[in-house]
Amino acid sequence: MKLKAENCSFAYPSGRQILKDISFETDRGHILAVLGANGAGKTTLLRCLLGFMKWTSGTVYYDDVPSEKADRKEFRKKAAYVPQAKTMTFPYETQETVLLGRTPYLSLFSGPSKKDMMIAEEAMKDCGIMHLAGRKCSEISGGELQLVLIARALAQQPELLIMDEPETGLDFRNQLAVLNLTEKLCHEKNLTVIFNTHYPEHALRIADQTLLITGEGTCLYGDTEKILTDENMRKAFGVDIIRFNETVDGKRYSAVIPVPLQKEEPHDQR
Amino acid sequence: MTVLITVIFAVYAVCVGRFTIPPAELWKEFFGGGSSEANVRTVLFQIRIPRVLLSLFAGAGLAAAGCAFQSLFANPLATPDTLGIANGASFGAALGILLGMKAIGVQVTALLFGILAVLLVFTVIGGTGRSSIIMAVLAGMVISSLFSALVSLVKFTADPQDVLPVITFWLMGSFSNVTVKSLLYGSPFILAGTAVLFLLRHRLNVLSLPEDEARALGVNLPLLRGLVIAASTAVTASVVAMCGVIGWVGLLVPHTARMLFGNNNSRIMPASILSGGLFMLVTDTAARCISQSEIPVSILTAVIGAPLFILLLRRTGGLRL
Repeated sequence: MKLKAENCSFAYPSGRQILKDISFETDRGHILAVLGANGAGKTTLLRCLLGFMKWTSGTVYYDDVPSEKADRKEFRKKAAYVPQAKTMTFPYETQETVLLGRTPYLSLFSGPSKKDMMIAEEAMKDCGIMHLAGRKCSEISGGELQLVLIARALAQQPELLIMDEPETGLDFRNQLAVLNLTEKLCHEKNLTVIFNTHYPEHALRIADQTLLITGEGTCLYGDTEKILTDENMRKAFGVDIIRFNETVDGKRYSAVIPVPLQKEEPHDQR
Repeated sequence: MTVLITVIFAVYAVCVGRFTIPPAELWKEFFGGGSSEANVRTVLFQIRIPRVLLSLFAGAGLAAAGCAFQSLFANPLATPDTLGIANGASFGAALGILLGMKAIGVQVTALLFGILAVLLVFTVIGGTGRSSIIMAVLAGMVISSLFSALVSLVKFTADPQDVLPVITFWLMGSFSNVTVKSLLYGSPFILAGTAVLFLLRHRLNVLSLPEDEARALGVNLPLLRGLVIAASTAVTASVVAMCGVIGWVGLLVPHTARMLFGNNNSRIMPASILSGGLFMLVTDTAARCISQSEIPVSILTAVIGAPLFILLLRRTGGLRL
């Protein structure tokens, strides 16, 4: 799905401004990373994009259609949301969870059909989690649960994948698994992917474009390499950056290490 | 399988009691042209069959409502009474008895106050401008305890010689007051509510997810929540109005189903409905057959239910929550 935001702002009714004049554009087969300090408005941005909250001003275009004119039902089929893996009150089995991704296609009183089950199984295969079939979501690891949630989103057969810190709280290997899967799905299924992250390395690793929310709700948008410069990150996170680059098997990896600011200057501590 | 057991037991339940009807008479009544004696016919159609039907409906309905509320509130401790329906209806009934109303009058006031309790809960939430599920539970508790205080007030003012025992016995729950007429008035609400909850069983799975996830899956949350609450209220208020307060079924039958079938509502909703109906029927049959005088049914639900539940806990290794 082609997605374009033009001068979007969000403020709470109390008047507290969260996001100011945000503009960006992304398309199928592209990954957009959203970075920013805690409380900078990353989750607010995703919730606005998903239509859970209304922009106070500005317009978002989904495939060139302004969001307020878009067919809501169709949008719910096309846009899938991957939350951060959390424990559930009533944990379902993994297939049952993935099958919930078919909900936008079902009417209020109907249940999933054979076809829906096949699509869900296909999604599990695409995410490499067939071996988890028959297990309860409470009995698998956090990393595995995150993959199940990605499979659920995939079962929705979406065009747009919106992920809220999908790799936070996972170990190195599982972080990699999630990142690699995200990249694979984006290209194989030709999806538009937007994901929140706290790790600049992860953005540098898989994101084509990056939206960096700096203080005061404004943001920088562009190709990841050009946005995640030491200077910009210093502005956004209030730390100095040292960076190491290493090439392994022809692929370039960046390590971003935060160090305290050399000279203490008054900055927003949020 | 459960259906078969239920049917067999229902036939048995129709036959046993203080006035025993031999199965042969039953056969004659239904398939032999109805040549049996008049008192058999009276017991059968005026008392036994309505009672068996009501206990089946009530058990099925309460279990379905409990199952739905557990998903709605994403809380394993939720019961059909969470929004104060049972206490509201109890107050209505106690008030009706105090004012010397007839059985039907008592039922209608109970029903009305049950619905009033839920409406009050929504007024409380509406006033805050936020409609989170936690707010609903909290408001439900407040309204619930308000009505339970009012029940105490009614009991306090009631004549301890004749009115108070009636109220107390009524509050403990019994199917003994059922008549064909009250069954015809009350059961449509129970059946309709249960049917709606049964049809919504697939959607209930999404309902227990966090709000954002449910909305992202295209679920119209206000509509779905409204439907679940309306259907459960119809069931619970009618059951309390007809048979008094019956504990246990709404909380533990769904959990029994969870232990056996996991948490998928597509499976535990039908399982709850069937086993709730069967459990209620067994309990009520025991309530009227064990001793000369009837035992209040909510005493037996716990006495029979607790050992059953403990047995299941041990067999299945506990709740798979």
